[in-house]
Amino acid sequence: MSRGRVVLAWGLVAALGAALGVGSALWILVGRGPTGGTRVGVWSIDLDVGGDQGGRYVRAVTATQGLLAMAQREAVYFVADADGEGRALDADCAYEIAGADFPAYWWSITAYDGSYLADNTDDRASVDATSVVRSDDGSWRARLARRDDSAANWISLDASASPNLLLRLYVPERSVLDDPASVPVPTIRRLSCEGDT
Amino acid sequence: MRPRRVGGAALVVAVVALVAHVGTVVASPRVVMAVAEKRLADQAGGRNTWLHAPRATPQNQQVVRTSPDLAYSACVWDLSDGPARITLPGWDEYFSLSLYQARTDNFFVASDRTSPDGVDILLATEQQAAATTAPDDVQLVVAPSTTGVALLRYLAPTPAAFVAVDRVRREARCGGA
Repeated sequence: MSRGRVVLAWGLVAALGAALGVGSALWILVGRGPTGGTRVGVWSIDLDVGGDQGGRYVRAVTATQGLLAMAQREAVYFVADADGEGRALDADCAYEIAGADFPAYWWSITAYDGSYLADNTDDRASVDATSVVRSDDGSWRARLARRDDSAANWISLDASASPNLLLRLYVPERSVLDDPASVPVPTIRRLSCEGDT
Repeated sequence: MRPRRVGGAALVVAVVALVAHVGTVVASPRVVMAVAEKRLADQAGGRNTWLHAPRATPQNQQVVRTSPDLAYSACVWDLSDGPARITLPGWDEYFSLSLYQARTDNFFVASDRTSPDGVDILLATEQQAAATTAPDDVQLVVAPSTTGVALLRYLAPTPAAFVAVDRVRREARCGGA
C-alpha cells in the first residue's frame, strides 16, 4: 500500500471510532439508551435528576431531556409513557388516570409530546393539586384523551405524536426520597381506541 | 489485511470510540447550558436581567418540559464584574428561586417554605465571597461557576392567578450588588 492509502485507511478507522463513540453517546442523551432510576408501576423516577449528586450520564440526560430541573429536595419527577398494561400511550386512545393526593406540598400531572407540550390550543395539558376536581373521599379521576369536555378533569392528548405524562411532586415528603416506590402513583387504564368496534 | 493489522484497527476504533463517547457525555451539559444562557440573555436584553416568560403555551415554550401551571422568570447571572444581588418578592402559593451552574447542576434553592416573605441573596464566586460581607438579612451564596441561570417559579395554574403573579414578580432583581 502506498503511504497515502495507509493514511487514508487509518483515517477511516479513526472516523469509524469517532462515529461510534459520538453516536452511542447521543443515543443515550436522546433518551433511547438504558437509564437508571426506579420503576414504580409504569412510572419511572430518577432522584438524581437536576441535583449535584448525579453522575455524568444523569447530568447529560438531564441537560438534554429536562434542563433546569430542580434537585430532589425541592421537586421530584415521575415519567410514564405507557398504560397499566405496558402499551405505549397513543393519542388515538382514551385513558382514565386515577389517584389521590400525593405526599408533597404541590403536585401536577402534565401531558407532553416527547419533551414539549403538544402543539394544540385547548389549554388542557395538565391537572394540578389546586385545580383537580376530587370525589368526597379525596380521590380523583382524569380523562386523558384527544377531547373530552364532559370529564370533570380532562388532560388533552390532541396533536401528540409521542405522548407521555410527567408527575411533579414539589417539596416531597421525606418518605418519597427514602422510598420512591412507596408513592401511590396514579393508575393509567386504557378505555378505548379509535377504530374499536 | 493481515490479522495483526485488523487487530490494530479494531483497537484504534475502540479507543477513539471510547474517547469520543466520554467526551460527548461530559461536554454536552456545558454546551446545552451555554446555548440556553445565550438564548435567555438575548431575549432578556442582556445578562443580569430578568426575562419574565409569558404563560407557557405549546406555541411559546422555550425549555423542555415547561409546566403550564407555573410562571417562570429566568436571569442569566454573570459574576465577571462582581457579585450579583438576586431578590424576589413573596407569594401566597408555592414559589421558588433555583440557581443552576454552568454544567447544569441545581446548586441552590430557596422557596416559600424557607423564605415566605421573599428571597434576598448575594451571589459570589468563591474568591469574591472571601472578600465580601453580605448586608444583614442578605444570604451570601457561593456560585461554583462565573455564569449560570437563576430561575423563578411561581405557582399560577389559572389565567387570573398568572396575571396576579406577573405583577408581583416584576419587583424581582438580578445583578448589581
